[in-house]
Amino acid sequence: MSDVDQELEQLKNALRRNALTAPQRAGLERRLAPLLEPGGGGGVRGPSAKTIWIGVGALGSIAVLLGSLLWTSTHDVRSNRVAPAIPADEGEALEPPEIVETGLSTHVEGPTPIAPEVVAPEAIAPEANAPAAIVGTEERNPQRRSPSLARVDPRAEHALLREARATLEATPARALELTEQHRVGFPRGVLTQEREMIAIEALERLGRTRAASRRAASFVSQWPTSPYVLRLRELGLLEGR
Amino acid sequence: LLEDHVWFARLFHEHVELVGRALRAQGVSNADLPDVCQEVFVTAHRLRAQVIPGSSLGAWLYRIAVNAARNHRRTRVRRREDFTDSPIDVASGPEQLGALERKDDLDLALQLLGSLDEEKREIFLLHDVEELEMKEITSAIGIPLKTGYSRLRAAREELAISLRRHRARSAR
Repeated sequence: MSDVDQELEQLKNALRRNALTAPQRAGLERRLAPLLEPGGGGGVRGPSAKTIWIGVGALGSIAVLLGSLLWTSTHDVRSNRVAPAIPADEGEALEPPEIVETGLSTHVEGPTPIAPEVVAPEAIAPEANAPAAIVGTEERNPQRRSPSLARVDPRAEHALLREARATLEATPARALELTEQHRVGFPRGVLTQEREMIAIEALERLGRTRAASRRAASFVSQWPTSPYVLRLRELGLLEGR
Repeated sequence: LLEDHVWFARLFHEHVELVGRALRAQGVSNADLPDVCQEVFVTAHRLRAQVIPGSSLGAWLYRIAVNAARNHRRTRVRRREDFTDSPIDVASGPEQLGALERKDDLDLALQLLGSLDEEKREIFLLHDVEELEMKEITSAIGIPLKTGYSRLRAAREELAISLRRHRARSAR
């Protein structure tokens, strides 16, 4: 490798390190919480609750107006005869519209709400498949959608990582998948360093050394005084640092 | 909606670093990084229906980041016209290589990247820095594989030339 090549490699490493700092990332996660976590916070640059209620009020007024118009049209005032009743399905058109909060903006949907756009799972790397257990729990307990899933059950966080650690040696791919589940399911978990360590070791065992080194570098920049840094050094993932 | 959240959370956690690096490489200052990063992810959320299953999300996000950085630059230029406060730190063109006096690797890397046109910079960053597969990059960009490799080769050559020129200037 020539000097220029070496220097270019050095510059590439500088570019790789040139990302968000841990506080910047944490701040960004907070800002994007409405999109990142089910039931999390208010909308990102979306309308305020006050705006929503004004919209609901306006729509309510329109509904009342339409209702009164319909009532007038179905009653022959001059002859004092009642017109045939409106079929049930037509009457449903006056049902209050459903408000769908996406976090980004609030849409008021008609009587036939449009399903949220969900990207097919094929678009996502196989190792990051949807955490079925977490999704299932959420669907069964929608009332438990607190801003942070981590607060729902810290024991679940521990159990997930214990399983990841147990599978690390035999099936690192599975361990990596479990760490991804942890990252998605416990965005504010207390075992983040442990998760990252398992993920790094899994990547290393899978032969993805460059990815492991990059993640190790990111780990050190976030937690430079962590005792796990020694372990990363032992693994030879922090050469030149 | 829950699936939507899970998908978006995964997108964020897996690519936030890539987006940050892409924005910095486009000249977004460290102070403005969180704002522009947020813009990128909000846009990605809005455009999520456009994602083609199986395509590279990294390359897709990179393109959104490039556009966000461009918009950000325009806004900053307008603001600068109004207030003429802090200078904007947009990567410079090849004619400004004389400014490569700073020793810092990152500054140097950003300056050298600025000497590449956007097409080459995109391929170089996604392939050599982000280590994405060329196949997924070219598929996301919509160019033939061969074109991708030739752009990468050209980008590396231009960077090597710029680097040699920089070293020659520094040695004087």
